[in-house]
Amino acid sequence: MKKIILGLIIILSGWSINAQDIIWLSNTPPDFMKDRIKTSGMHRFSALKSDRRSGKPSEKEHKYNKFKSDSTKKGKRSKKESRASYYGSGTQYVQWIRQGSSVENARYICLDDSTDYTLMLMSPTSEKSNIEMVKSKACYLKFAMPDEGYYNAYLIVKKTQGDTLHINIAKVELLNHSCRNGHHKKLEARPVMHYPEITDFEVIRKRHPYEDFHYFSSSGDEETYQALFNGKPVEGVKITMNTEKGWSKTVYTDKEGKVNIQFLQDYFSKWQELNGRKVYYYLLEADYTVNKETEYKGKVYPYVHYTLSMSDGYHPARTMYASMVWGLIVFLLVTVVSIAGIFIYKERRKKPYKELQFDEK
Amino acid sequence: MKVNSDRYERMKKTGSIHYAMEIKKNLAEITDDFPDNPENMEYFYKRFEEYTTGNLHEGKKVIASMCVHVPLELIYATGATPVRICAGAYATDQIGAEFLPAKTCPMVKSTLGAVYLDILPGNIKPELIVNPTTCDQKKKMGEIAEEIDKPFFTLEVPPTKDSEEARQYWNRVVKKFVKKLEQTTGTKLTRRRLKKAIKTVAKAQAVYRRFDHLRRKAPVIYGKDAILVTNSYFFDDIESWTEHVEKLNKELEERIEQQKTIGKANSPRILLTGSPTIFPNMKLPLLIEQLGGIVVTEEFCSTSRMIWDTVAVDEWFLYDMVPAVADRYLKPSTCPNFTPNTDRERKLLRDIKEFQVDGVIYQTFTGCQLYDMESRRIGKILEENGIQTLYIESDYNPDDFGQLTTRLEAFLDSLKNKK
Amino acid sequence: MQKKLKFKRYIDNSNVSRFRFWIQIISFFIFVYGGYFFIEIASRLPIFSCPYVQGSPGGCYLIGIQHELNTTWSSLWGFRGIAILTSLATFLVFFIFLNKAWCGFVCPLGTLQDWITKLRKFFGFSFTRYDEMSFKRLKSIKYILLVLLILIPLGIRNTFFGIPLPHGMHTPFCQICPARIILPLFTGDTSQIFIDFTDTTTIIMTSLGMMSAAIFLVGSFVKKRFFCFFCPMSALQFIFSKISLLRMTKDGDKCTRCGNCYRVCDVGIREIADDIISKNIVKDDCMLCAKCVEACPEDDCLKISFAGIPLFNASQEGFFKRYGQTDLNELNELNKQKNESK
Repeated sequence: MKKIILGLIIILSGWSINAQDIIWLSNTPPDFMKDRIKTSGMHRFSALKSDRRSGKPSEKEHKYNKFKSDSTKKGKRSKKESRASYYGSGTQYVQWIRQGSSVENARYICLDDSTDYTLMLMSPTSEKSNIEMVKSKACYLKFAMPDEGYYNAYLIVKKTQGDTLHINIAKVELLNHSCRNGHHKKLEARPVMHYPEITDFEVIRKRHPYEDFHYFSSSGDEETYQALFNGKPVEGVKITMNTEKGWSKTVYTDKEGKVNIQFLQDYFSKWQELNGRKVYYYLLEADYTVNKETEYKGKVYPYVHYTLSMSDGYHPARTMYASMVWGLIVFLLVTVVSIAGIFIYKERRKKPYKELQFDEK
Repeated sequence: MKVNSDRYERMKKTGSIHYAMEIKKNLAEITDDFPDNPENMEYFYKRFEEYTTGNLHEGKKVIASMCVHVPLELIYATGATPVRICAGAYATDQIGAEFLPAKTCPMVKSTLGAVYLDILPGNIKPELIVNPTTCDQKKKMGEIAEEIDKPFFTLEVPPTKDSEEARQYWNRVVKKFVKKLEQTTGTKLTRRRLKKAIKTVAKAQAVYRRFDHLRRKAPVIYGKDAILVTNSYFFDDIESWTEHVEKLNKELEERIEQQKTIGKANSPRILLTGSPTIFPNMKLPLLIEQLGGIVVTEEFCSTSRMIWDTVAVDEWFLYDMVPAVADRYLKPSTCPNFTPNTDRERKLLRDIKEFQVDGVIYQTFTGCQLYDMESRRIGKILEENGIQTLYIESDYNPDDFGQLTTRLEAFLDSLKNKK
Repeated sequence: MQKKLKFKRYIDNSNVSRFRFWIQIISFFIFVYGGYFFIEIASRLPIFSCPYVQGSPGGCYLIGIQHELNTTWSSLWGFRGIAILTSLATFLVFFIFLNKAWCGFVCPLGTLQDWITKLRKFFGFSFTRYDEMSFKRLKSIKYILLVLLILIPLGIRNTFFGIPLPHGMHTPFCQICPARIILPLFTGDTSQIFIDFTDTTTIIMTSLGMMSAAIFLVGSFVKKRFFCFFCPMSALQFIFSKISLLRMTKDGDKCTRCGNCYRVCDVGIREIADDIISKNIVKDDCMLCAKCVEACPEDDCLKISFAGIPLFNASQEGFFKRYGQTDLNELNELNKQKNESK
């Protein structure tokens, strides 16, 4: 009996977009796409393999993508073309649209034209650019990031239910940097951008004082998030953190609109599987309802319900992977061994000198 | 060997007399036959007068050395005074002939004779006689000297100096030598003492090099005097020697300023090389200069080769100083016992250039194989460089005076005509 | 003897080692703490101006070249290649002035080794030298390291012979370079002392780094300029040594092969004493410290010149000034004091 109900729920949820289920942008490709994806940069951004250098879809890509023209890209990449190619950033990065609170099991979905959605990419210098939605077997968002620094990508889906307007803001902050480009702009990566003109409700991750291009959250780190409404901090926003390993925590923002969340250490590997650079993802959900009359498609709604999702990766705890004690042990051991070696050598020098040995064979 | 004491006493008596006479005669020739000897040469003439009469280094321990391979710094540092006993006297040569074949190098015979009769320079009583194995005759002389109960110590000189093995070997030999010295003198080699010894010798070298450079500048001193200066380094107290060479340098500088040069403008400038000229065997330089030539420089182990080269130390500890001293007595040496010995050719060519030499006189002692064998190659190289060479085989016997005069006259004349 | 200018004579008689000692202190200060005083020199320097040091005002060319070569073949022929050439040019612009004197006068790691040598002297502990065979054999290590530090970054992106190189091998030399671990310690930064357990590659590389740091300290205590003998920077510099303006030349005719120069040579170059044919005597291990010129007692046998202008010549007078009289006076005074105290 239980199974039938469960099944029904699954079928139902698959059948229509449930307004309660959060939509978010993810960096993790669906299983069947995995071999066509290559990750790049230290933040492991996904890009389609065929897209890496040319910036044009391959033939294989065309098959999935027949109905879509690539006219949009051409116009965009004129000004920065030369620099972009120097930076090797002609690369088209992709993000997947997913629905559901479970980082591991959220569905990959596609938005049809009946859905009211907006796509927007903001560059580190707050220039707007378009995001292209590719509708193929898997739906994905495709965009270029020619500059270094934090890009903000937004997918805003509006829906109504009863007297409430549901606005789902799927946001990602993408730190674009390649060490090969040098580190002359080390500090410019830091400023955090938010755009009240795109969305009035927003959550941002506060930067640490010494963050640079190489920053990556790790288990055990404490991150501060701030909820903003029309650019001003808001209190009492419900913020839920879900990690890939299934850990979840809900907190409410304080007077300054801030919450502090410490990432739990949730990765314990076996010796053979050591990988300090493994990336896990988290999904941050923010819920906020405003009692404000809003007109939408000719109808006035007394309530607006905002759901904001933000996803990023985090590494296993740093402390687990860097051991000063072991460093010192190796250091001292080698010191002692070499001192002993020298001592023995010097002692042997005191004896009459060594004869040349002949090989008797 | 049992010494027949009666005969020995007789030999010693006559030998000493002959020896003293020979020295007196030679010294007189050096001082009296030439006008206007530098005032400061007086000190050196005196030193040689005391050769037979004086009591040199009284109250000090003396280590006798031979050749240029005995590290003097180490001897000074162990509280002893080195005296080089390589001899040039015909009187002792005849004594030495009792032990060695007739065709042996006169220098070796003479030294052995002097050791046998105990008539060493300044009547020293050496605690140890260090005998480097530089040539076969020296080696065998060492054996004979041990038979007559003389405190000989054999310093093993490698037959080559270029290879790393030779260097290592020599370093070990020198270390062993230090131990022997410490045993003999009862003084331990210390850092401070060795440093002081190196500096003391360096000071002497600096002064000598100045002297040598003055000889390059202008002909102000006869070769016979210069040879006496370097020869007195054999036995003189090093500090007093340095002081007096410094004084001599000053006088020579003044002479250069006053342009009080010796010889004439066309006097041939001669370089002497080959078997070493050691006082009182001064017949070759004396003859040359009496006949109007000027010996501007000598490439002898009794002169520049002995003093010229310096010791450089990186860290003033025994671990670096001892090998540094050892290296100095091996690496730059141009002794023909080393093979290859291209450094000698280069040194000769350099000297010829720097001293503006007109002709080279190559002296070989009868029985001195090494210099004899090198003479052909050196002669060829000098010929290639357009330098005339006179090859002279002689010994300590003054009998060949007439024949030498004729040959030297002819040679010097041909040089004069060329000028 | 030619008459020398008074000034030239003063220089030739001077003690370059003492001058070098102070230059080294100043440059060590600049290259370790300069960044704190807003000194910014340049990246791609021909010394170990280690970017891992917080206060470093510059960058070592080796880290630059390793970073830049971590690229694909195709991009190597494009803008990437131009970037590589630009940084090589930067390196050369600096290098051309000082030749290998960068090692002897400026490199902070070299200075550190000289200080360790001073410490050893303080204890009166004897140094060691490689014997001739080991010297010849070990000599090639720096070239091997240089080739590896060029090939490994390329190999990460391009796979040679189908051998996949992990990303953990990026900047391979920096990971095993003792400067990365030791120099930050001078700014109180101990964060480089660690083993990185991120994956097997990093474990191996960081362990090698810790080992090299230990061997560096012990090695430079018993051997002068121990690390310089294996330094790939030294190899890289030697490739371009001939075009440099600062030169050391030898007049073989004046050489007596007394070996003074070899004795004082910190890196133990035999050719300096034995080679009487070559004019340019800067060898791959040489760091132009001029100690050999100081120890040479033959006038003008060894010379250091800049673009043909003689800077420092070997001179007899200078030699005896440095090794002879002045110190003897000191010694006499010492002896006097000793006698008085008795």
